[in-house]
Amino acid sequence: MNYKHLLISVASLSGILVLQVSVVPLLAINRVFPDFMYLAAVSSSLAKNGAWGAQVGFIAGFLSDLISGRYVGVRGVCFALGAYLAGIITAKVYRFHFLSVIAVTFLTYILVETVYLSLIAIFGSTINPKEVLFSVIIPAAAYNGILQPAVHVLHRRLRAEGDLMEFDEGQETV
Amino acid sequence: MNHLHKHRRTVGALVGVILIVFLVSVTARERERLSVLERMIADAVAPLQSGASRIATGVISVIDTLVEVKMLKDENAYLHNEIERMKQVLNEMDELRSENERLRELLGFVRRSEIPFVPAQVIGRSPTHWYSSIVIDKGSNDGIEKHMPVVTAAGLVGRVVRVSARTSTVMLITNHESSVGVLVQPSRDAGLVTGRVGTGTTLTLRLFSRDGHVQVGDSIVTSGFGSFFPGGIFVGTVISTGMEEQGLVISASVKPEVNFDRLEEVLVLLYQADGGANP
Repeated sequence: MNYKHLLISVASLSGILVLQVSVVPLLAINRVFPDFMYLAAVSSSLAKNGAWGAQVGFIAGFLSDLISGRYVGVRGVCFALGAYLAGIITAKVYRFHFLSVIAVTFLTYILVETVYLSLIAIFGSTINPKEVLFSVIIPAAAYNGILQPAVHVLHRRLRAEGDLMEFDEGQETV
Repeated sequence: MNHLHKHRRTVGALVGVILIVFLVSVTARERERLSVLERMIADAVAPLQSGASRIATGVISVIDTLVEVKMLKDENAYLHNEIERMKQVLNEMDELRSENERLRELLGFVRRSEIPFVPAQVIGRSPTHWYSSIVIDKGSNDGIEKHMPVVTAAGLVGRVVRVSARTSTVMLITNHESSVGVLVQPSRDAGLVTGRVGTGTTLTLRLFSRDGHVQVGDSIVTSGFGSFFPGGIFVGTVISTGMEEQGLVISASVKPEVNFDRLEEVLVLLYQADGGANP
C-alpha cells in the first residue's frame, strides 16, 4: 500500500465512518444495524485480494476503535482478519456469485465479532459472546451479508470510474 | 544491520503487535482525558456528523409523518375522551404535587429545575453494537465535563464519558458497563440499575437488601447517594420481578421511558457528584 492509496483509503473510510455513526443506526431493525466499515473492507478484499482487504480492514477497524474510544486496535486486527479470510475464501470459490459474497460476509462477520469479544474479554470486558450470538451477532451478520452484494457492486462501479480508489494496473485482479 | 534488514517484516510485525497491545491496554478502561488524535478526530468529524445526522433525521421524520397520518384520525377521537379524563386527573395531580414537594424536601432530593443545564443535539451513535453511546454537539467549550448526567423530559439518558472541545460522548444507561444507584419510589429501597448487552432496551435492577420490596409498576428514580447523578431523576418503570443468585438477590426488569433509538435532543445537567451544580 503506497501513501497515495493509504490516503485515499483513509479518506473514503472516514466518509463511510461519518455515515456509520450518524445515518446507519437509523436503519436498525430490532436495534441491529449493519457495519459499513466492515462491508467496505470485505468489498476491497473481493475486488482485489485478501492482503489488500486486510490492510483496508485494519484501517476501517482502527477508525471505528478511535470513535468508540475503547480497546483501540482490537477491531482493526479483527477486521483485517475477516477481510483477509473473505479474500482468500472468495478466491477459492466462484468469486462474483452474489450468494458466495453473502455467505462469505455472513460467516466472516460472525468470526470477526466472536474473536473481537474474546479478545476484549482478555482486557476486562464482561460481554459473553455466547449470550449475544443469537441476539446480535448472527442478525447483524445476516444484515451485513444481504447488503454486501450491493456494496460490492457500488464499490466496483466507483472504482471503474476512478472516483473511489485507484490501483496500479499491474496489481489489478478484477 | 543486514540481519535487521533481512528480518524487517518480522520486526515490523512484532513492533505492530506490541504497539496494538499497548494501545488496547491503555484504552481498555474509561479514561479521564482523550488522546490528541482522538480529540482531533472527534472535533473534525463533528460538523460532518451533525450534517449527516440532520439529513437522516429529516428523512426519517418525513417517513414517520406519512405513516402517522393514518393513525391520526383514530387518535383524534381517542384524545377527545382523554381530555375529559385528564381534567379529572389534573385535579388529583395538584394535590399530589404539593405532597410530592414536601416529600422531596424531606428526602433531600435535588429538584432538576434547580440544576443548570445545556441543551444538546444528538449527532452520532456508537459504530458498533457493543457500546450503547451517543455523541452530542456540545463539549468542553460549552462547559461540559466528564461524568455530567444527561437527561430528557422522559428521564435519565446516561452520563458524559468523553469530552472534546465541541463534542461529548454519552454512555447510555442501557450500556452493559453502566450502573446507576437508584431507589424504588414507593418502598424507598435502594439498589443498582445496570444495562444489558444485546438488543433489548430494558435494564436490570438489583436491590441491596434481601428484605427490599419491589413490584411491577413501581417507579425507579436515581438515589443521588454517591453516584454521578443527582437524586430524583426518573429512570424507568418495573415490568417484572424475580430473584437471582439462588434467591439471595431481589432483581427486576426496568423499562425506561426514554426512546434511546430516536434520541434527538438531550439536556446535559451541569452537575458533578462531589461538587453539586456547576453553574
